[in-house]
Amino acid sequence: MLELRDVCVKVGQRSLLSAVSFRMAPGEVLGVVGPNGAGKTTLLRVLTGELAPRPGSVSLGGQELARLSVATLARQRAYLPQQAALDFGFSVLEVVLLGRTPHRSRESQRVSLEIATRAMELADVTPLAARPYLELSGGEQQRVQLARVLTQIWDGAAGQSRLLLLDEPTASLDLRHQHSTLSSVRRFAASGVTVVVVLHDLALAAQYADRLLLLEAGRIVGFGKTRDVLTLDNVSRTFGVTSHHVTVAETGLSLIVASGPAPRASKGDSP
Amino acid sequence: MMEAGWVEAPAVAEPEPEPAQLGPQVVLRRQRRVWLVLGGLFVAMLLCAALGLGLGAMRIPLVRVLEVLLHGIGVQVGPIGLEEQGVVLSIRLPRVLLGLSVGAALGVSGALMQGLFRNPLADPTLIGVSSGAALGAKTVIVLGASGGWALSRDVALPACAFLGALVVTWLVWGLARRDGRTEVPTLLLAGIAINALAMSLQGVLALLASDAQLRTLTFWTLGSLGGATYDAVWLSLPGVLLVLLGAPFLAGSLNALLLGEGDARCLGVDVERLKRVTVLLTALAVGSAVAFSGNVGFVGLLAPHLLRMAFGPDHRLLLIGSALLGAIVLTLADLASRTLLAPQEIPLGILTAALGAPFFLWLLRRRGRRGGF
Repeated sequence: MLELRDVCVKVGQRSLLSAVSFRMAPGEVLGVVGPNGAGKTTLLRVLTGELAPRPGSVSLGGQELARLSVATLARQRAYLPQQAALDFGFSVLEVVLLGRTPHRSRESQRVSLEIATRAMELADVTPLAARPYLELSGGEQQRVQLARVLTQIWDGAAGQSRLLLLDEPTASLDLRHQHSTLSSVRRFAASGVTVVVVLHDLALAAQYADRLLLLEAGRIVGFGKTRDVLTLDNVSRTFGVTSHHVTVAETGLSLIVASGPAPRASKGDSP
Repeated sequence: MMEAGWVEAPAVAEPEPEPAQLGPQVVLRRQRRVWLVLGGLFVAMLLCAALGLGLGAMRIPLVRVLEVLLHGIGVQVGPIGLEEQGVVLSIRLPRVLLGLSVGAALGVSGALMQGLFRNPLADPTLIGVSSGAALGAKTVIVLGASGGWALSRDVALPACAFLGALVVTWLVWGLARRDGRTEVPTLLLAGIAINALAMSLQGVLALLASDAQLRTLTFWTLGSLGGATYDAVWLSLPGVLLVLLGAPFLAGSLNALLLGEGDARCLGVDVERLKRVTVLLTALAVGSAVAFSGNVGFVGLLAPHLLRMAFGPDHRLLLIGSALLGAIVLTLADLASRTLLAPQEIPLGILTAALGAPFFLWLLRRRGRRGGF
């Protein structure tokens, strides 16, 4: 169980998050959406512990994050940044195995490798295992990094909550991998992991998230089921676009598309 | 999961993944490779040390070298010439041992710094440790003569070099700290500034120096193992060995740090402690080495680089491997320094730079087979 209570973050006079509260059950996928500067990444940075909420608290499995040790947290919580800064020529397998760093004193290399192998299958990077990481394309690197964070929290001790934080994991992926990656994330969540994923693509968010959190200027505009959050009104207002409902006839899939900026550019990319 | 109207898109049919080329044998191979490489380097280091003991003005065959060494530790293996014994045990052995110690220190600290800065061009000079040692040593050389030092210069010089290394590193470290954190870019910039300051102070010392002192200063700047004695070996080795014993414990954390500080923290690495320990070990290693050898360039840069190009950036191999390779390079360089123009000695730093720099450039042009650094 992930629970945020009245989380506020201020940098100088600017309020990046104000009074953000919500709860997520294990196995649920939360899609975080909102315009640029809405506080999506700030929220992730609070969840990774990089920013301390003042006031407010975050707890995982009933324990406050701030009170857990770095080592304990590393076995329960993994974070995939938008861009990984790895300039050294590890092989893909070595990068994925780095995910087992928090467990290295407790398990044999054989176990680590088994887990890494399964995570690579889930992230669809198995054929790349022996390739040098730096020779991969941006999208391939992103999938390898996903395999690394899956590896990190692949198995939880009994009764331990696990939390996976993903910052735009589909940003540089092709269409097929956008979908295969997010459905892999869903399958991973089903093993009892709470997933918080920042997404820009509302269609992907609608399809793969159990719940959505719509942020604007650090405040919650909507939290809940997709159809309650992604209303025409909410989307038009928060993103400053003219939006429409589209239903795919064959599957009944309902999407929101934007046809252009809203006539009055009152909102939009304002930070 | 989804409400009516929000139906999940039909699953895209995924092609069968290629059969994984992975299994327990991969783990074994990876482990074996680390031990193989380290073992190979260790044997090569022993061979180079033996060469260093055998070659010189008086050539002694390897077998004889071995016999003299065995004789030295009390194993009787037959008649040993007094002259051979003197050359090997009194003259060459302390020099070779000091060379191994200095080379290992420079190699391992180069690997530590490159890991800490996540930059293959980093070396211990960046955090001021070398210039601090130089400043300490040069102060003794120039002011020691007139200042009426109670201690003899043989003790005062390395002691001050070591102290200088620690003090300057501590200064750079302190300047880079803010709110209990050390910012690596600030560490780098503070290092550059403090290095410049130390250089200017060294310049002042050079102005104050007499002609004879100036020659000693130059010699120290260029580095040499000419002053090797057993005392130097026993003073230098413990610090270096301590670092060699400690460094492997940092390997996993340094590997994680290559992903970036944030990611390393998420992987459970205490990043601040890692920085502290890494800088401390580097200062200890380089301080212990440079105090007795003067500045010897390029070994700390070259050894980790070479290994990384051949075997990848895994610190489990890199740290100790760089120490062994550094020891090899320094032993060979010292051998060259005293044999190439014998009886004249070429300062060590000239050789390591003259041979190291072109080799390094060649490596850079070639790049690693694994891409990147």
